[in-house]
Amino acid sequence: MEKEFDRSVSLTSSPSQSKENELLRISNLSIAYESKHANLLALDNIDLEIGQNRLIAVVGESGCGKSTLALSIIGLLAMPPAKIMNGKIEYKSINLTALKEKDRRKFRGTEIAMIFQEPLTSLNPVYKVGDQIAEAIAVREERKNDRSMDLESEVMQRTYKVNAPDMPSRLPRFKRGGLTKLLRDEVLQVLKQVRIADAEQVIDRYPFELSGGMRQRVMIAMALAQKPALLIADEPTTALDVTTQAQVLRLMKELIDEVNTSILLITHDLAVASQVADRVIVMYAGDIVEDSDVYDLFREPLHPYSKGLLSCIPVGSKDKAKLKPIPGSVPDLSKPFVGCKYASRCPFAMEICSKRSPRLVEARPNHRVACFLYSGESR
Amino acid sequence: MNTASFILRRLFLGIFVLLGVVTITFILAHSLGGNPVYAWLGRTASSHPQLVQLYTEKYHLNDPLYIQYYYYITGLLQGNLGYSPAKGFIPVSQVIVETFPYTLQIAFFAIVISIVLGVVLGVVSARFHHGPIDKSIRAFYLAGISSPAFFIALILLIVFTYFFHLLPTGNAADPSLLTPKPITYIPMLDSIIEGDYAYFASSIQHVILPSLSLALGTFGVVVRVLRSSMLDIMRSNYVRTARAKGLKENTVFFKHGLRNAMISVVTLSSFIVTWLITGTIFVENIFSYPGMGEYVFTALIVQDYPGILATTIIFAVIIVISNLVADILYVVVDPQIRLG
Ligand SMILES: Nc1ncnc2c1ncn2[C@@H]1O[C@H](COP(=O)(O)OP(=O)(O)OP(=O)(O)O)[C@@H](O)[C@H]1O
Ligand SMILES: [Mg+2]
Repeated sequence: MEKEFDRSVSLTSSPSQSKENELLRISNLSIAYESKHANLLALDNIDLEIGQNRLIAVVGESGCGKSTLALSIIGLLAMPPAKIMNGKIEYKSINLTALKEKDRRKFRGTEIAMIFQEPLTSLNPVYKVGDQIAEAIAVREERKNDRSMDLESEVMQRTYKVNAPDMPSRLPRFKRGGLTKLLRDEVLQVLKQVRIADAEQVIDRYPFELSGGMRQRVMIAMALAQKPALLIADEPTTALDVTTQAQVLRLMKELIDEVNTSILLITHDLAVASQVADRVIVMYAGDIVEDSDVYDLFREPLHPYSKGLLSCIPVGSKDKAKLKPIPGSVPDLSKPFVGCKYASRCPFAMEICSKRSPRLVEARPNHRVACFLYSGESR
Repeated sequence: MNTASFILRRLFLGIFVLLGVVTITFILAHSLGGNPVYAWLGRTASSHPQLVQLYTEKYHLNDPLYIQYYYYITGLLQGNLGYSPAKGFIPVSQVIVETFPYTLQIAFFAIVISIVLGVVLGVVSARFHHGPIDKSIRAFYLAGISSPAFFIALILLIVFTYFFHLLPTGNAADPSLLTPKPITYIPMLDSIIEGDYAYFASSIQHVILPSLSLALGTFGVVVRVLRSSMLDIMRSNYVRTARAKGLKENTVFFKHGLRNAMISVVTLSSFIVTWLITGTIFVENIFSYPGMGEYVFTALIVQDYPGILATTIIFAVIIVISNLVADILYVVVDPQIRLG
């Protein structure tokens, strides 16, 4: 374990981003799932920062820790079994990991929102979608009016943007009578914002009356209604068919310019990332192995794993034959590990790769990679 | 399908269920064998053989079963439940009107106590699950579920009546008080309507122990179902969404969790009603409460066919109605059934 800490000391220089534009900074974050038998290290010294108004994709195969990362940012990790071993998550310079749940909650929704992979089950079956969106708006309004926001009040004051029209601050009661005119109008407006044409009907529907694509739009509308600065989307299109998937992705891409929000898009599909993201973060077995501008990554992937992933993308239907899976498998994360986790599968593996873990370093401008091929440490 | 036609269909089905219950009970009761007149008359039967003859003819007891069945059903359709040999051949309907309201009183309180206690404790143990409160509640309801009603009844009697003299036993109210004039025929309701609060207070005191001893055996089922469905729901995706919105944990729990978990309680409620209404027979006998329970026993022992049939029909009607009510409630709480 000492080795791990050793590594965490050396903070890498990040892609040049002006500090005031920074929204989220994650440093040395390690998260383990603890059980009686073993501790599974799901995130291993993650360093990452996210600026404003950007669409960043996190890519990696199943089990590499994408959802763990997302849930830790919004603070919805079930602890236990999850445990933050070390590191911090700073949002607008406030260390979220140090906050009590009571204060932590105040960041959810209005600052950091999240939509999930399962649109079919992520909406409450017994309330109309309009009411569920209205509830989200009410949370936002309540916070705006909340003067008892005692936590580091100056920072919080700065943090809470005041950019919404005045709304009743009481939570809607889900009365049969329905929503107030003002609230209903805003709900309609956000539904239209996510390109739901018949918003007037959809607002009074129950979730089970809507298709998967519609429900995911409703989820996006609900998240956007709170005007978060960061929207985390954990595989938002995986459960949808290809056409709907494309529509939802295009919607997210368009929205990033309309609303004042950064989007962290989690996907296991590099093709999806290439379509919408400005920046791509590649994860492997709990590590960030590459972090780059989307064009650079596709023009010149540095990490052997990224190269492998890229060669897996079928380019046009004729190239199906070229789709080659990466041989080998991910190491068992519940065992202590020495060296680069990808070494056993890596065609470029060197001696050092099985002895030490590579640091994430800026190998090219704005392009970080964790690989001894680029660290200059190989000799 | 709209709600009205749904209810009509269920009512229609209910009538068939009742007819089935009547037929089966009729056959079962009459297959006990022997001439029941001997059981009805007891000693008198041997000293007055002509009386046996008389009653056998009067009640068509020598006719084939289907003829007797025909007589019974035609009588039933005219609202005639027959005459009760166990009660000196007064009309069964009279016995029922005099006793059944008391049974309703016990059943009502038993249902209210077990649902309210079950929901409250279920909510508390789900909210603080795996903590000491949850564990104490579990110990409490497991003790209740695993004890037979008569055992609970005896414990309550010993503790509240004999040791602490807190609550009375026997009768539906203090015998020195006059039973209120029948308006609804349910004495407690009548006492409120007539402003007879002394009677009302006394009847409450008398109903607590019997209904509590029934409820203590049942509320645990509600706790268990509510707790486990609540815990499932609190791990569900839509609860995660509610948390992601930044709602307070209490709002998440009650507005998003409990509302959904209540669907399972509604599903359970008709079962609870069935359980409790039949349970009244035993506790009424233990507490000498003047409900229908005593009559059910006597009727069974002396082969009082009309009595057995009538009380069975009444229980069946209640069960059919409670199922209907549960179905309607189900439609109200679950929009997917309402509209789907
Ligand atoms: N609640 C949990 N308890 C124990 N281990 C867990 C738990 N949740 C996740 N893990 C483990 O942590 C690792 C990372 O899981 P995570 O869900 O973050 O992966 P992911 O990248 O989101 O995968 P997917 O693409 O399948 O969603 C996996 O090995 C997984 O088995
Ligand atoms: Mg995941």
